[in-house]
Amino acid sequence: MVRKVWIGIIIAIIIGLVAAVWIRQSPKPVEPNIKTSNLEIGVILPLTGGAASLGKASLSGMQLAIEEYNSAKTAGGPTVDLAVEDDQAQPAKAVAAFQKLIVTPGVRLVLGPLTSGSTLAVAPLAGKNHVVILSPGGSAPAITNAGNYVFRNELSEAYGARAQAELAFSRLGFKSVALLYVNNEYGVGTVSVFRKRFEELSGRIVADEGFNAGATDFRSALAKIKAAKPGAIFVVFQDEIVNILKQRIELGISASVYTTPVFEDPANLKTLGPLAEGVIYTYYGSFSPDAQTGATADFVAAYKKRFGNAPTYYAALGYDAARIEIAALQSAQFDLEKVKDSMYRIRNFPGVTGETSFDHNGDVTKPVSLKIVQGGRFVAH
Amino acid sequence: MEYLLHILVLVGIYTTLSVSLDLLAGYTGLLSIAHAAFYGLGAYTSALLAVNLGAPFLVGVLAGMTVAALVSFVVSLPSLRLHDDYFVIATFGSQMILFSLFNNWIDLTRGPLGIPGIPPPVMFGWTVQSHFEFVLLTAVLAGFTYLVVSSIATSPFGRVLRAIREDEVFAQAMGKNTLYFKVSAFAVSAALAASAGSLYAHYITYIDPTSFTVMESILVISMVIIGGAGSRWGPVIGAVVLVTLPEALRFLGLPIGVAANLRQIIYGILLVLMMMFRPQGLVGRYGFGR
Amino acid sequence: MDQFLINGLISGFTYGLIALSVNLIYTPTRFFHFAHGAVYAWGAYFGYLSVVTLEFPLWMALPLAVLMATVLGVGLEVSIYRPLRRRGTTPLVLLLASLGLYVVLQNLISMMFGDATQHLSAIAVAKGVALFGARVTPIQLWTVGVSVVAFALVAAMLQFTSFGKMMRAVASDPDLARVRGVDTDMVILGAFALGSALAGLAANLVALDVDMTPTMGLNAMITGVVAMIVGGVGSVPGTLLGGLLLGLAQHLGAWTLGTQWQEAIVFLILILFLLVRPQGFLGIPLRKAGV
Repeated sequence: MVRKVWIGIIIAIIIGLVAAVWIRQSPKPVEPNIKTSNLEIGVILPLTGGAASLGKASLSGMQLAIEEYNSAKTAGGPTVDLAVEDDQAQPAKAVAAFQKLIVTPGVRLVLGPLTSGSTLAVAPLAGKNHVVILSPGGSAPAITNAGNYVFRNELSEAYGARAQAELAFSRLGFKSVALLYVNNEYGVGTVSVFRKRFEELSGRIVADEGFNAGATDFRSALAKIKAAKPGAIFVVFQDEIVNILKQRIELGISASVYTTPVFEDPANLKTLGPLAEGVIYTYYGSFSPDAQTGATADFVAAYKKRFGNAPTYYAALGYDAARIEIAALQSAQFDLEKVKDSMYRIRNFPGVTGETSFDHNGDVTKPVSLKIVQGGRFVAH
Repeated sequence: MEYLLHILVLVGIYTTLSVSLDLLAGYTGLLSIAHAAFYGLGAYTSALLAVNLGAPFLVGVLAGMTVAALVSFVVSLPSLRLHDDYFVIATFGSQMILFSLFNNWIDLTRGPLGIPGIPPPVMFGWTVQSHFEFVLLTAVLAGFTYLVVSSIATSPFGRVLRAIREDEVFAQAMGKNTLYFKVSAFAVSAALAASAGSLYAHYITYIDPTSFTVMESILVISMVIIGGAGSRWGPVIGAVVLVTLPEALRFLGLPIGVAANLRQIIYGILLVLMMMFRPQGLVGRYGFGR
Repeated sequence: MDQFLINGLISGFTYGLIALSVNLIYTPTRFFHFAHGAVYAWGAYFGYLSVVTLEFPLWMALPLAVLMATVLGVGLEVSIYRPLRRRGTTPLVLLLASLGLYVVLQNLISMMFGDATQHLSAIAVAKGVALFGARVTPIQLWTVGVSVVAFALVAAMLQFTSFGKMMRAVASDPDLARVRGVDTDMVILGAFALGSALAGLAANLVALDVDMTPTMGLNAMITGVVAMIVGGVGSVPGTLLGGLLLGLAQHLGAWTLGTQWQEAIVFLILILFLLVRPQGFLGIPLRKAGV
């Protein structure tokens, strides 16, 4: 008897949940192609989990861009809203988020996912459902061939890490390098391109140490690297740099640290203080939080006013990604069927991370430059 | 509508997982925290076969089930000599080692890079593509698993498993080779979990190790326990509740930065409350020693 | 090479301390209190609250954090486990409840502090001190010292105080102990208090050394459990031995195989011991199937 009551309760709960979902969905009108009143852009970013700090910065940039558009838009243009989903940088969660976005606000345009794994997981669905996705940070080489509807605003590692290897060998004169990288799609992807190019240039990889995302104890890896006596340590990280630099000093390793654009986060300077001095990193595009004039300076000022801190590299990528999608919408006159084609037509879009044009694979080309921390600031090297 | 179908596919996959785990946890009393690893073995085996060799879907499923069953023998070796909480710890260790292999054996699994571009299942000329077709396929799999587990449970074999759960020494005294029964139950359970993994891989089209963590194992065991271990419908209900509840919470408009954590907190609280007030689960009778 | 041995030993003392806290709770209760991992992580975040948010000096902040971890651990025992035990539930039910508690407590940390790494110390990093051809930091030396003192005190407490004797009595036969007038609930409460305090202490030492993340607890807890099983349940010196073995194996494994295999090494050792010597180095044999 009691059992029957339980089953009844469960069934009632399930019916209630299904009904709730149904009711939330039902007001959805038959979708017109041309949006005039209100338009939602889907957002898939990691807002919890190990990559949350990158995702949150990116989201802030996107929010700022949308707010600027909405307050400046001319009469007749629709108001744009963001429908935000958290994928925790996990591909399966990104797929679930994507499935939800295309149904319940019915979005046809997505900003994100941020991480390469999630972007690759969502890509086939984007093609199948004719949804344009623009990843602000996915850098894996495989994204290049992930389909017609997949764009990204970050340099592919096929170019980025290749340029990193060339700069390390030729400009910085490192003839032997130790690799220390996060053991995920970002770290492994970057390092494999870097290693190939660096060895082609007759450079030597003297140590190869992967660590799991979120690791805190690098002493064994660093001790191995110390014994290999490299000219520099190429570090690819997401959230782990503080302990790496700290333990490098503790172990008395003098080799230079050479790392990626992720390093340019003002919070790193604040936490690391003097430990950040002399760290060299490559930088994609031309964004600088210290810009004094022009559109970049306006962005930095507006961002500081809105969020109370200086924008990071990922905030700038998010800001540009949102503005690029809006520009594509505008040039398609808000006809959602034509957005994909107008994305491909974008030429020399004046973003704060540099001029952006998409090639026929939806990839961008950006200048790769060297930067260094000097006097507690990020400066060109 | 597509979204509800997507949820139904997930319900089907998790029902397969929880029902198959119930054979081990509910009927035999062996609480395994390695189920996600077998789920992953199935996913990896059929994904690698499909992507590298172009193997048909059913071949991948069968190969995945075989691999999982074989690995389950290796896992049984240290685990099945142990009882209760020591068994839990041993399976925890196996889960962590297998996850480590998915993540670090890069030459085979591509490690954290994951395997993209897994083709849709094709069998007997039917290409499973739309959500609706996937719902049908998962329903078939979940139904098959349910039938296998319930027919084992009601067979003489299943009675021995329950005898082991209640009193292993007694079962031995009755002349039963309990190790044989436990190893077989473990292998069947692992193979069924692997079939769910194959389906998941072909459905999502991309797999990487993060889908097969120990937290996933804990989620599946929670489904069994919350629904009711060792009961006919318990694991099914557990899977339905724990899959749909977080999805329904999405629609409540929780602040986005904390939604993921809140969903986890709710399922954690649910697990604790069940243990305190209804350890036999929503519809179950057996409460791990009550 | 020297660096790996020294690093391994230092990690070993940390694992030993965590394993001791696990062992203190496991020995009288005989269930795996997974939420202990969350108590440990909360210990570090309590330290973060007192140092960074309340801006207490370290000598005040650390005892406060340890106290708060103790209160948390004792609170779990009183509000969750004791009522469950009174109803005569099995270790498995307690274990499942503790898994649920772990999930809740860890996600509370994520919600309140974020998932990014938080730093306890204002960084004043210097080149480490040279020791036997390796470099170690003052914090690492402190960790070893605290760990050694904690082991000595706990061993003496179990041997010589009446509380220690009661604890051993409950561990070897709870029913008999109850018959002889030992208040088992009191003893278990004491074990939770002591175990949680040690976990809080270990967590803060670790956080001072390598910072904190919300998920730091599960790994620490599991490493502690493995070290306890390897060393032997209920054996204080065995626990230290287990911790040292794991620390050395991990760092030597990192040296030969690579750091990404460190976790797998811990569990391979666990499986090996469960196969060959499930009672550990110095433990008493496991109970067989219950009759």
